[in-house]
Amino acid sequence: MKKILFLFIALAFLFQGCEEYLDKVQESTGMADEQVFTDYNNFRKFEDRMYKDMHDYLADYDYSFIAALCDEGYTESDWETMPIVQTGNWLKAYSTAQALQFSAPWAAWQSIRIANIVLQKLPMLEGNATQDQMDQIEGQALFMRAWYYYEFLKRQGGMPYLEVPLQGTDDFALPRLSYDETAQKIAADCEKAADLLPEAWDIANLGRPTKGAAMALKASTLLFNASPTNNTTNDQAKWTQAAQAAWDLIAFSESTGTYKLIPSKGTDQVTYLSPAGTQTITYPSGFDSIFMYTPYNDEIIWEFYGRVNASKYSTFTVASLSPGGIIQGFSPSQNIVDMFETDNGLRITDDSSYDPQNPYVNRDPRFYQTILFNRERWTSGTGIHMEFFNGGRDRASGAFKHYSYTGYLSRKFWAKNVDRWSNATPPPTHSIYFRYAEILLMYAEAANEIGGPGYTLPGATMTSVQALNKVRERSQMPPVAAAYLGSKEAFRERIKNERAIELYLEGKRFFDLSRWGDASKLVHKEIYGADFVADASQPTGYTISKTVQPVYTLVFEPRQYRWPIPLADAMMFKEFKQNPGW
Amino acid sequence: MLILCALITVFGIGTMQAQRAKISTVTVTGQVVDENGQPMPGIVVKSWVTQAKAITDLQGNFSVDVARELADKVAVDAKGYNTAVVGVTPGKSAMDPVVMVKTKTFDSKNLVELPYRTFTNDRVTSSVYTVTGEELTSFPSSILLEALAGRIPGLVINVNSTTPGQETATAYLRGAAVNTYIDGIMRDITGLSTAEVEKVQVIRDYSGRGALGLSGSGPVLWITTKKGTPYNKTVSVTAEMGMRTPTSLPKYVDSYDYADLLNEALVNDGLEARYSEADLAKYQSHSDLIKFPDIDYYGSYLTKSSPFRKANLNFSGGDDRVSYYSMFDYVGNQGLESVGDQIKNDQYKLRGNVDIRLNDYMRLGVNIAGSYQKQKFPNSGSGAGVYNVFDILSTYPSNAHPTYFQDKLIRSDDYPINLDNELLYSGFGESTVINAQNNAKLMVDLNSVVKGLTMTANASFDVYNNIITSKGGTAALYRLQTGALGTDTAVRVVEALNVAAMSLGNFNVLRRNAAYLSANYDREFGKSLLSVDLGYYMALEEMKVVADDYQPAKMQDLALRANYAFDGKYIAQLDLSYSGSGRMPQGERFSLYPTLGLAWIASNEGFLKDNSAVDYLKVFASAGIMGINDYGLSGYNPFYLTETLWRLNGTWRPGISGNNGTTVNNYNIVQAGTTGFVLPKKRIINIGTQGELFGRSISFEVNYFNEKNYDKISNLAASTPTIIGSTQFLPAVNFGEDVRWGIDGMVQYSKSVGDFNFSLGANAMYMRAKYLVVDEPDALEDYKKLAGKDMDLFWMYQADGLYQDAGEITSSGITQSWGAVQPGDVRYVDYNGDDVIDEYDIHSTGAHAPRFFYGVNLSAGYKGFNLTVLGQGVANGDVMLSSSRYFWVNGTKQNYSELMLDRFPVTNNYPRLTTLSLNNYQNSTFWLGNAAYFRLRNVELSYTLPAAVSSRMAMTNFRVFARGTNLFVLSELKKYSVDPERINAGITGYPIFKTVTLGVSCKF
Repeated sequence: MKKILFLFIALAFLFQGCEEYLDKVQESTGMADEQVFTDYNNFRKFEDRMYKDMHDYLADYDYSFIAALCDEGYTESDWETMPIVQTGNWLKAYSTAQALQFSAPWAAWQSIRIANIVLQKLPMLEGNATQDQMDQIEGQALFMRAWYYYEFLKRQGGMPYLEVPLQGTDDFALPRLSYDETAQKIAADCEKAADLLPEAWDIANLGRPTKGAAMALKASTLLFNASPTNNTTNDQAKWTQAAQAAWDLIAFSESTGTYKLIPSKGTDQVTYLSPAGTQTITYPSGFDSIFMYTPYNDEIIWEFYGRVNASKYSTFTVASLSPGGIIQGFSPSQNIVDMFETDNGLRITDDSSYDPQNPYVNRDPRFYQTILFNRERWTSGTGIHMEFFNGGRDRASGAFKHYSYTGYLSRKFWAKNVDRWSNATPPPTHSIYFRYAEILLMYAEAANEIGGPGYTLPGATMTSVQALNKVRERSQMPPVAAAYLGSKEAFRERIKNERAIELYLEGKRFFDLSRWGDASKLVHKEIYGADFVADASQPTGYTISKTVQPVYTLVFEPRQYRWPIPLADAMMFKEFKQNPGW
Repeated sequence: MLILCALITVFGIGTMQAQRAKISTVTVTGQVVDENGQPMPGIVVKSWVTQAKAITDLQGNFSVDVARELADKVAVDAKGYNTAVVGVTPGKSAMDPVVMVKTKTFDSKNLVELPYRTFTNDRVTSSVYTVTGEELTSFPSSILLEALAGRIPGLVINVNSTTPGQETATAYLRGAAVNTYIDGIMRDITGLSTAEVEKVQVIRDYSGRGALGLSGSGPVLWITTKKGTPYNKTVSVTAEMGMRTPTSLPKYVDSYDYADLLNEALVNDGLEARYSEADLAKYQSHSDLIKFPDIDYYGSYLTKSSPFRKANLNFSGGDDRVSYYSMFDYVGNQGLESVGDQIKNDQYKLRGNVDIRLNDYMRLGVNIAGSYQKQKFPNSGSGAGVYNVFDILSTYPSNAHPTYFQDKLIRSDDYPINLDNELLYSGFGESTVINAQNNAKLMVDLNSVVKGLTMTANASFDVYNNIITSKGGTAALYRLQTGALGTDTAVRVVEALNVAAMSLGNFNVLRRNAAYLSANYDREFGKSLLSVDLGYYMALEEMKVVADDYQPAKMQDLALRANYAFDGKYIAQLDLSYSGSGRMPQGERFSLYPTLGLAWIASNEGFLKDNSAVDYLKVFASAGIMGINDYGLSGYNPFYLTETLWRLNGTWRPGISGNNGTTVNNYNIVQAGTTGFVLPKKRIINIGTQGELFGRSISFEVNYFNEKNYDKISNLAASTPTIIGSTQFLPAVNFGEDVRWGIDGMVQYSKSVGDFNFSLGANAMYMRAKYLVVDEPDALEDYKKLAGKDMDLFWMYQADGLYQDAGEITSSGITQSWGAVQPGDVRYVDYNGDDVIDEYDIHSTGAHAPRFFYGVNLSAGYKGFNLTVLGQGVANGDVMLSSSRYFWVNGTKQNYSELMLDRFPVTNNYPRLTTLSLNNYQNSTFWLGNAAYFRLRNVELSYTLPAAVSSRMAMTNFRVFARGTNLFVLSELKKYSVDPERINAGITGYPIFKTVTLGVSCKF
């Protein structure tokens, strides 16, 4: 027995020596902290990971899902996401795997952590990178931290503002900051970032945020902070802050020539069938080239050019035109169509020359660039004309999904002559986060709120209406008619209208309606389409009328102005409060 | 196959007769009796040297020719008894009586094989249950685990897939997945045939498996393969053939009903009906089957049954120096597809076990087994795999599209698959699995060096290869289009594609090396018996696949077992396992895990010794702790918990490259390194009693078990807010506890009356599991917390029937958060009382998965006739019907099962139909079904020719049999035409089969 025990003990000791047997055999591809943070290239590869979350929820097709949450249009998706979010059950959307518009932005907390790790570890890079390189890294980290907080701000509102990565032993029960506190923190980060970031990047680094992007982010944040939903006391100081931030960027741009509106060049035309034969409408061209063909053009302040845009074909088209692979058929609403002015610069209801039975002629050029209408020729490469009329090939009826529900399709992100029938290569299109036109509109909006259409911010050289007219001028639209400049309120309505059509489908309107407190109004919840009943005596060959019933009525309660916090987080700590109503 | 059988028979008989001729013989007489001294008539007695055979008469007497000069032996084989081999003393004409010992009892002298040692039952302190391979052969199946269902208390077998050739099953003992050991080595059970199995033991607690160290942390199926019995040469051939039919197939509506139901759903949603009255009339009249088709998918694409074949041949025998067992086994089955080629599966298995006595001190055992499996199947459209027709059969409505129009294959936009195309023109796949399990074992008797010491060294080398090749392709597919004049035309939407060559689909190689060394020491000191075993085990498992690499899994365990028995009554056993884990940081890899076992053989006490009712009674208990090496923490690389892992993780695209940015790879932390953790642990307590009563007619065993998992590995993700960033940034810690307890046991009653004998038994387990410490937020309200609650609870809404009318909806005053509700929608209980039905109302309603598992068996014999019946069931639990789309029909692209004919307002059995509302499709008590079922798992009826008759045909045994599996089932779920064992069988994949075979078995 003793012998055996001895043997056992001896063997046990022997084991300590030969436990290398249990060593790993294959080296993992893992790296140590040192390898990552002391090498400039590796450091950047880590930092760049913080862009990924954004790309996960701000791809081109995501904009159409966001669009379908407001009056921009309607989509019938194969994904279970849309019915859930359209019925206002947003809490549920977080636990729905496909509802990326909800779960993916919330996951961006990881990018905030990455940004904070970057800032924390930056000293390790000292000596292995130039000061410029260090500044660029720091600037990007500050910018992206601000960006993700801005995304939370727009959705859920104020959040604890983390500036160092939390450790496992830290107290996680952090209270949420107010909306204003969070906005000011974002603005402060943007200011620091703007000082560190370059005015422009070399070709290989295009797509990284610039000084201008940081200024734009600050302006947008402060505009949100000043807007009625988030500024219930209408604190004028907030508007001034917002106007100043927007003006700073305009001034910077004007002095350096960094950003310009892409001017209209030449003409373009659409053709459509009518009882009188094929009609042609000629309009100034150029607007579409902001979104296609040339990435990083002069108007773009910040964009993502990384997405293969084949998905756009399955997003914005309908099943009859693109067999297979349809994710949704996005249908622009009549609500939006009616917001396009006549080319006299008047609302359609204010222009006596406008004929509701011949609505396609003499409209804002952006109408033709944005909307595909009934009997319009579907890209010039084919003889296909849109059949949105009742009973038409491209019109949804009954349970046939993925056809147009409203009588319109979006043309905005469609390049000429490209579709699945012609098998042409999709053109380069991109997701734009900020472009110069929006900055002008931001300034116009904030300045109007301070002093009306004729107000010029001290130190600025533009009135509110001048800024807005610059945007109109680019599309060769006349200046805002004097009839609309009588009051702050009247002009505010035109600013809202201008944003709606200039920034259509760019992921802005849903958040605009929220910050204005408009989204819960019935007029924005009911999404209408148009009926087209064949009648050869009418100019278009159809009697056109707004649908009697809305195509869809969104559920949008006041609680929806602040998105819910995912349940798991809301139930974790009392300090981390759920938004009211959820 | 029959030709092969015949050849063997001729060969076998030929050799025997050739041998017999040369030897001078003498006749000896003897008697065969059972343990009670009762004579056993009709038993075959064989001489080893002369190969002569005799049959015992009514008094159990026999006279057989044995070798005159050589030391001959006689072997006696009887069903239900251990084979007896008795030497014949030369010159003596009468032998001592041959006593036959019954198998499978808890008799003190029965053998229990444990790691590194075989004990007699009266030395064992663990709960070990044994099933003989013989019992399992009555189950015609291509996988062995399936045959174990219902036979072992506490063992639950889940058959996951029944696709021919892809059958898989998972075995759980007391709720934990089992590991299989074959001949002492942890091995894959795939390919093991029931015919080659000597016995299957379940080792339930650490007193039995603690010596395996970390690899024994989960329950163990300890399987030994057959060996030759010295001086008992046997040749046996078994062949059976039969048919398999689905136990149930779902029922779907025809196209008229489909159109009608879809219309109703659309109208319910306020949408336009899709089919006009005229359309419906055409569906009903079948007047235009091109535009208004009515395809019975299950009827059109499935045969009623498919064949099953199994054959087995084995030789065994040997003498003192060399004994051998060899086997050849074949199983073949086929799929149910009636169009194109069916799935075909053929499995071949070869085994050779040889035991050689090298000299007085050394024995060498060599086990070599190889299996070869070949499958051919319709190829799946994406990747290499079996095409799952059921997925289409169950989702395509009868009116999806016609199969052909003017000889052209038709598809539609909504239903893009044409099954004729998939099964006839879309290529096929072939899979080959080659599996080899080899080991050599050297046993050295060191008695001369240290008294009572033996040593064993064993090394094994297993390989497992799988290669799948396939080719795809498609015929041209057309869409039906109605032209301006109302004429139908077929418009081509998919071009034909011919794939000329096979391409590699999947290829992997797995090798498993293991070696163990053990020293066994046995001494007797007066009334004390001491056995000490020292074992050392090391193993390596390495997988190679084309695309990825795997970290090999490695084991290194040292174990000491000391078993002490006093006076044949009191047994104590201590197991110490010093076991290493490669998942721990260097220097902390090895830990010591103890187990203590105690047993008391009460029947050897004076007060019971002469008790006529109690033949054997043992009470035993053990408690042990073991580490768990295989902790699955999702997202973590389990091999390197100690390391912070930085890896490539995601990309982004700055710059301009064509129509895109330039892809740049990113690094990220994919795992935060951690220190100061220990291996998670499991503590098992088992208290049991077993015995035999009333002249060994009743045997029983009952165990109480309590298994606690603690020090679990967790990164506390659920109680850490998202603001931390992501769970990958969280280091793991030891956190989490749960406990599982229950009772399992069995009782068996056997009786013989004259020529009639029977045996009746039952086994059962009742099991509960509870969370003790769970990673969950503190602020969670109590009804949302898991801690303290059963682990098998279903979390869902409480349903309160269907809304019957609009009035009820308004008067309820409750908002259900999936849009407006209508009469016919499920009404939910507002559990938290906030007038809104939402996630906060999800709670545990008390419904849970089954907790009671049982099996019953019956065996009856009369003269040559024998009947064995095995039933198996579960009870005390629920099933979520919502897990099957058969019950949950929403949307516009789903087929309607016949169940939907009973929807609201026709009955209240199912909610109103809808294509939009999600209200009804939430997990709720509305969708609960009673999971209980009782299944007639296996029946065998056989007839064995009297030995006197079979011996005239040169056979020692000739048997014909009919076997069946899954012949019927009792369950509330049967009314839905689903199989209660797996409600998605036949819907998302292959159905469960009922198998009936006929066969013959002969021994020489």
